Amino acid sequence: MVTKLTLAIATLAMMWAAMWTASGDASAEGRPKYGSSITGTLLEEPLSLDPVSVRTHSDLVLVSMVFDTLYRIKGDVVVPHLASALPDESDPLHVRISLRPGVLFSNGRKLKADDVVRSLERLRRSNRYFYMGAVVSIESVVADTGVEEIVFTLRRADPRLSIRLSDVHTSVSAQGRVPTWRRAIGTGPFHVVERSSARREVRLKASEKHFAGRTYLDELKLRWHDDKSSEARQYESGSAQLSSRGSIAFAGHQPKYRTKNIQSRARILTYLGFGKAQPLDQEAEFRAIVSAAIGRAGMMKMGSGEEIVPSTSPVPTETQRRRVSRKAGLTPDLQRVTTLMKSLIPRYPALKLGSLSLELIVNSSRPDDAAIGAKVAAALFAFGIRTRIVSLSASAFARRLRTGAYDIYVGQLVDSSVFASDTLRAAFAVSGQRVVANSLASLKTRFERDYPIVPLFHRSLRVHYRGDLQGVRFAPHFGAVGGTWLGFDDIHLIGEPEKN
Amino acid sequence: MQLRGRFTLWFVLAALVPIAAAALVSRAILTSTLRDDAEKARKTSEEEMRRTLHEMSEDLSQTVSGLAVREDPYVGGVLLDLETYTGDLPELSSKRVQETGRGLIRQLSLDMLYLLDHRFRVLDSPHYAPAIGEDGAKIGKRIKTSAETAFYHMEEVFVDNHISRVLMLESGRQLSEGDYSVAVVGGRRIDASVLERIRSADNLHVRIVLASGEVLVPSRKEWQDEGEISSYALSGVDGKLVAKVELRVSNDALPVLLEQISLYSLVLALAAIVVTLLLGFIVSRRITRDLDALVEATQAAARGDLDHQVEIRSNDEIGAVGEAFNTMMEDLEESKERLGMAERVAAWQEIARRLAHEIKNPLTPIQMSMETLRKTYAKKHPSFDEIFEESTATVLEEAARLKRIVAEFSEFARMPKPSKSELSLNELVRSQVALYQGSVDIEKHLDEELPTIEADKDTVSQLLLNLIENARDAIGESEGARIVITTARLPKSDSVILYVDDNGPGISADIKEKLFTPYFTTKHAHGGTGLGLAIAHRIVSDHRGKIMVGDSPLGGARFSVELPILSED
Repeated sequence: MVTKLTLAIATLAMMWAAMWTASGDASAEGRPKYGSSITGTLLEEPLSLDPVSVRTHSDLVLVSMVFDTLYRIKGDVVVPHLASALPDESDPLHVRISLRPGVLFSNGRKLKADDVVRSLERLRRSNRYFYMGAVVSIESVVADTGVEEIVFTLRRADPRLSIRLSDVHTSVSAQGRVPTWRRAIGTGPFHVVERSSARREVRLKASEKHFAGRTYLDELKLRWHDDKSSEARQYESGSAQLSSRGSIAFAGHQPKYRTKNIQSRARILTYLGFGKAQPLDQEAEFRAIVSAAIGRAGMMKMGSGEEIVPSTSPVPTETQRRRVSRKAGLTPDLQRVTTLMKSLIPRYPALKLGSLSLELIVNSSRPDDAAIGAKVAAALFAFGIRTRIVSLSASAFARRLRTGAYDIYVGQLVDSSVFASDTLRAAFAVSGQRVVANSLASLKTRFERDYPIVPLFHRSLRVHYRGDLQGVRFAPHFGAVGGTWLGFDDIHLIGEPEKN
Repeated sequence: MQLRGRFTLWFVLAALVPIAAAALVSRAILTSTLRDDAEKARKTSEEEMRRTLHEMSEDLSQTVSGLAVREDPYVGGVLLDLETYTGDLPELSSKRVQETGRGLIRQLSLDMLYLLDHRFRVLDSPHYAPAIGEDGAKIGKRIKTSAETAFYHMEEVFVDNHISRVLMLESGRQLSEGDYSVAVVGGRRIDASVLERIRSADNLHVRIVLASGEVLVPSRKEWQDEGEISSYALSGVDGKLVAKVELRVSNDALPVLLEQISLYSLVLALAAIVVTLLLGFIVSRRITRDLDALVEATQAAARGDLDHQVEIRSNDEIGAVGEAFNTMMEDLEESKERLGMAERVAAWQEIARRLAHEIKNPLTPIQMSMETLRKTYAKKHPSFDEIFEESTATVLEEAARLKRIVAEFSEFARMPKPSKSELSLNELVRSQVALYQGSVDIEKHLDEELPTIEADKDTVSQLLLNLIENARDAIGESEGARIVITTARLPKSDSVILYVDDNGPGISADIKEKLFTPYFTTKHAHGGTGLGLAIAHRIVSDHRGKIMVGDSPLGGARFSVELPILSED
């Protein structure tokens, strides 16, 4: 009898054990599997993969996934990436950089020094020429050892050349050609499989033969949304493993999975750009009026909980050497607006009559921009300027930007440069201007005189992610080398994919 | 104007006058009635307007009061969070508030909703997103000043992707707990939909005008600043005028109605004119037909046709007149016959008397001559031969005279009826004047376009001859004597006229009266019988013409003879 009882108990215990073993942790079933696909988000619809011209966060994130640079900043240190070693600056005016051998493009072709030279030459000819700073010429050579080298001829010694060559805008494309969505050939850890406007998604697949090793992830799906709550809703329901616009769609909800979040520093600039719809748009005084009319304090609660730092300069407040007043631009400067309007009214009587009407265009794939536009419209309305907000798809928005057929637009600029002067030059470049001034002070003065753009605020990126996420390591960098620069990881925050 | 025309005209007037009077009276009554109605409608609508706006204010105040309680999750929930998080709402709380606000504004049918914290920072503004996060000190001040009374204010809202200012009825409340407070302001838009509640009639015009004079909500039809205008002030929180609702009742329909009345009256009048013309024509024709017959008969009687009877078809007074006329005509004919007989008898008596007188004249010398002869023969007078010669000469002369008298009388008495035919008077004149060529110089002024007449050539020739002889006798053989014969067509007449003028001594008025009387003569000494002009008169009468004597422009006498033109019938 005891034997029968024991047997029954044992059987039951084994059955229970088997069941437990088989089921495992319920939550583990929902955990992204090692080597599979992760769905994340982009702040807006990406439109370009050209390292030279990209400026939005989404474009920069994708470029950093698909292309590589000669150097990278890891923590506080510049480390070689496509380069095999730090620059040879024995001759400060002729810096030599060795190319890492055996690096392959996504189409299997070997990386050559010529690819680097062409890519960087294209950058030098663009309106982001300043990234190449003091470079006079670039050429590829083959050293005696047979190693391919890139030789930079400089007009003056530039100890920060390697830092500049870690900027995402210096990414190398095959033969320096402008990458397209169908033909984006880079050496990065991922390559683009598909970009679907219908599904609002870019699919990236891991490059098997990446020189730094294949990533954990097989695939990365990055989506963009037209409204904030849909991104949060996808994360909340478990459809996405990452969200940059909150972890829940509605108050009182809970995300399906345990959630962590991480926030970068506020370096993504939201600004107002100006078109050519009417002559007034090209008046620096008018742009100054717009800047003075806007009270940026009201924008601090926008977004989905990320940090928002109002700013009247394209250079992030915290990176500026001199501590600028955080109160600048918080409230409208009525006196300045009145003074500037008086000077413009004789040439533009519509300002006085209250009959001035402007068109403000926003990118519908950046959900917050419509609300920002509304705030700008409200600020201008207080001064008798009527503004109509037009929401356009990303591609239509980009087309209108090219034609200049608008008055104002809400734009985003992520400047990955570590140098404030380059950030200011980038702001001028956005408005199509090429500045000659070299010193930071003269650039600042010129900016405050011409207002090529009207900065509104810098925002951080706050990413919510599943606590059990594998394959992506978030490593925000808060260190500062020399106190003046921050790594791109700070901004892009998709993090570095974990390697095998 | 003829009787028929006058009759028809009076008929038409009789129809038009009542129509015109009716139209004028209708217009006056309608104008008065509509104006009274308009005034009543205005007063009613004014009352309705006040009541509607008051009800809206009360309803809004109650709605907002219902929100500003601790138990309410929206306002009370925020106050709790402020207390919990020491004045700084976390992101989740803000999110919750904004989500709740979006639902609440729809649920409470509000057009505006502000939620402010103790620092008057705007926590929620579902109707106007740009206000979120902004400083709402002005809103807070309005809440405090309003003392929980509804007020009007111009608010910014988003309409079709751009900002507009709209008129809001607002009410605010504050909920406090310790150091923290939450203020809530709700509002409803005052726009055309509010006016629709007041617009009860098509002629009621309502509009909203801002204090600046700008029309915020226009009336449906064109506004005119005339007539009685009611105005209801919409005041702000400080009592100052923000806008006003203006109301007037238009009489726009009145001119249209008046015009319609005028138009219908005109149409009716035209129809009446046509009908009365027709009726008048028919009736007057029936009436005047008999009158026309009477007129024609009277004219016939005037022409001498006493046999003409009037054919009377009606049995009324006109018929009686016609019968009386016919009777009168019969009597007249009888009288005429009797008169004619009497005249003929008288005429013959006169002629007989005159003839007797004329005959007696020659008989006396004949008798005396014969008596003288008998006496002298009896006495065997020695001058018997001379006396015999003288007496027989006298007897023969007087016998010839008697013979002439008898011959003329026979001619006068025997005058046949004229045998009329187409005759050119001018040709006749030329032919008769030609007979006097060489003896008397007669001037002719003949109308070469003189129409032909219907006349007896022989008798008219005799007539002309008599007149020429008469004129020749008048002028004698003095130097400068003239006879002028003129022919012409009488204007507006169917007759021609013949003038025989002379520059003789003329004829006195008393003689003119008797000139055409048979045997009246001024030429006894010249052997005149006095029948020439009587024969001329008879001839003219037979031709249904006229003969007159008057003074000639030449200074003598003028004989005028009218003769009818040849009728085309």
